[in-house]
Amino acid sequence: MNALELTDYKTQAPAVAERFQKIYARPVVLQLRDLEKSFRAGARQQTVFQNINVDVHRREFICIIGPSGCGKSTLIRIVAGLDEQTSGQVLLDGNPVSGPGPDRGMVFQGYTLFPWRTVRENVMFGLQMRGKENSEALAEARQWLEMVGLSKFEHSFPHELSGGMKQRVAIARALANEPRILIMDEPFGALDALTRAKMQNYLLQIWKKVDVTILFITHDLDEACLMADRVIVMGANPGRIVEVIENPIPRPRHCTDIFHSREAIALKARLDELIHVPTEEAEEEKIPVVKMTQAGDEVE
Amino acid sequence: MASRDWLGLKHELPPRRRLLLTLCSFLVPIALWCAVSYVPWIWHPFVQVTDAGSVDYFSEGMLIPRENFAREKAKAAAAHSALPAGFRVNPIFLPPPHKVAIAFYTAFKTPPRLPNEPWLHESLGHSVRTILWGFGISSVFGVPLGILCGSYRFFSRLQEPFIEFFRYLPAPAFGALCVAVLGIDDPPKIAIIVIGTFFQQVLVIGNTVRKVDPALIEASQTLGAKGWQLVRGVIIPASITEIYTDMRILLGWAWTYLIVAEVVGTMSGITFFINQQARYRNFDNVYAAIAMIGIIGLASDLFLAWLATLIFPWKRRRHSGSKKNKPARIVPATASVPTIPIQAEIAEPADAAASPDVSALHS
Repeated sequence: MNALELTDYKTQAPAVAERFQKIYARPVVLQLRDLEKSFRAGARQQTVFQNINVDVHRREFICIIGPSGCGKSTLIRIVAGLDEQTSGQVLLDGNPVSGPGPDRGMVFQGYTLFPWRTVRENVMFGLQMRGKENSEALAEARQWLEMVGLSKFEHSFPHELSGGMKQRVAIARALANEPRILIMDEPFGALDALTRAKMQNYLLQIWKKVDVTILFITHDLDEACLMADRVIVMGANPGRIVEVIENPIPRPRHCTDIFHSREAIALKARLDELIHVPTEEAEEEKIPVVKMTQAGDEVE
Repeated sequence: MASRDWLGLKHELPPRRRLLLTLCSFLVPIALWCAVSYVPWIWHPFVQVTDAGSVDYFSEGMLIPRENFAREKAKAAAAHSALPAGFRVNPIFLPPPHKVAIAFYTAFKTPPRLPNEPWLHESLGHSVRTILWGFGISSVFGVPLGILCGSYRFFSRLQEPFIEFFRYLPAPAFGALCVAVLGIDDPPKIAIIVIGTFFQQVLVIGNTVRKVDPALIEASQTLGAKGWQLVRGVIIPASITEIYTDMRILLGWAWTYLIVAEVVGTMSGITFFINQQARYRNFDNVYAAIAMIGIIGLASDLFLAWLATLIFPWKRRRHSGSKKNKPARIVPATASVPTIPIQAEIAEPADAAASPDVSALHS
């Protein structure tokens, strides 16, 4: 059906293989070992996901995509320590994690800025919680705000900012703790398309400058193609990893031109195929559509 | 079209219309009161006798029900004796607005009838003091306990079932007990206000605190906050404005317990004044005193609302300000991300060997 061979990109580019070899040579920051989450729903055991095994290397950008109900949000909540796994282990630098901590920063879709704190005080929060002097925390917060380009708004309250700006504050706030890993749960999902494109570029710029590993959830395939080193594709019922795809698109990437190359189109086609499980589409097809137009009103 | 729409649901009214409606909310009841008081054919069920005529039990100034007066007048007319005369009035317990207005002024100037009775302002002062003590003592214990109950399941389970039971016990029921334990002066009155307020306060504030957005708590946990830091740094500031609003409402409740509290033991404060004036049948003074309570309540509430805008700056609506900031100045990413030496600070030498060209990879 497709002129391109979908797995073609793996063999065709030695440069890609070389790039990934370098990534895999870096130390492993995060390990997920046989992770499983299930809960009791009445009498039967409901599995959210199982058999999750991932090694994330230092400064790698990992995107997780999957249909709703595959447990991707639960997975990263467990990594963040906000939820508990049923079995298996989450290892950060080789040490099992239990409970949330500042070494795993998190950016939520809903911003979750503290409305009673100014932008600057929001960024200072984590530093203060870790017992830094106020003057020291302030200096560091300013530096991070400068990096996300919000120095002018340091005295504003969150409700005075636009969605994109709020999310930049949230990113600065998470990064101020210098986490080992930054977990982002559909961070740009609530933004309009234009702002989202800008934020994606922004995040790539920040990632380039800061020593941080990123675990990024999205349901937007383009976003995954644009951002990720590796894309983890999850499937539902029960949640599991279907495939881990090495993204062959060379960096630096920009959202306006990545889909001009053969490998990018092949990657997206592959992701499309993995995400859109045929059974679901068949279900949708069955929805009866009643004709409510008159003859001559048809549109193509 | 839109400006003509007075009844739009959830529709913000223009400021002038809002002011007009606010005025109307006071003016309409007052206008009704004026109509009943000054328009002789509305209600006015009595006749005040100006001339007794031939009716032997009438005397000047007496209030006679209209039908009785008409009957006596008809009898007198039939007997061809002197006719009684009078004009229609309302019962004495409904004084006209101007009399209440005058009473409002004179109540403060009139010395009490007996030398040991308090002046009106003394009575009011006494009441306000009682409220403040009662509400203050209740809050000192109630607010922290409410916050603990809202924050920790442990305290919620430990306290709330009992408090839930206790709050159904009407505070006035403890009147006799309070007098027996605390004497007849102010302490039992304060105790009744405390009993009336405290239990509600714990439950209401506990509920408010429980409503704090769990996402905020989770966010702060991923930023390293734990234990008491979560309560002090997130839960309290996240709910403080709502707690403040609760307190304003609870202060209103405290006023309703005041009237009950003041009849316990020796009657005191504004209740004493009202009862005394009612006994002397100075109903204009009674209305003035009741209105005074309303005015003190409303004024203190408005003051507290205004105070809130000072202490909670993030709740301030900055109409012009927020618009100025609104056009999100998303700076072009490539141009505006300044280089800062963060990477240099974090980069460890060990890693430099493992991946010598991390930055080359991304460029």
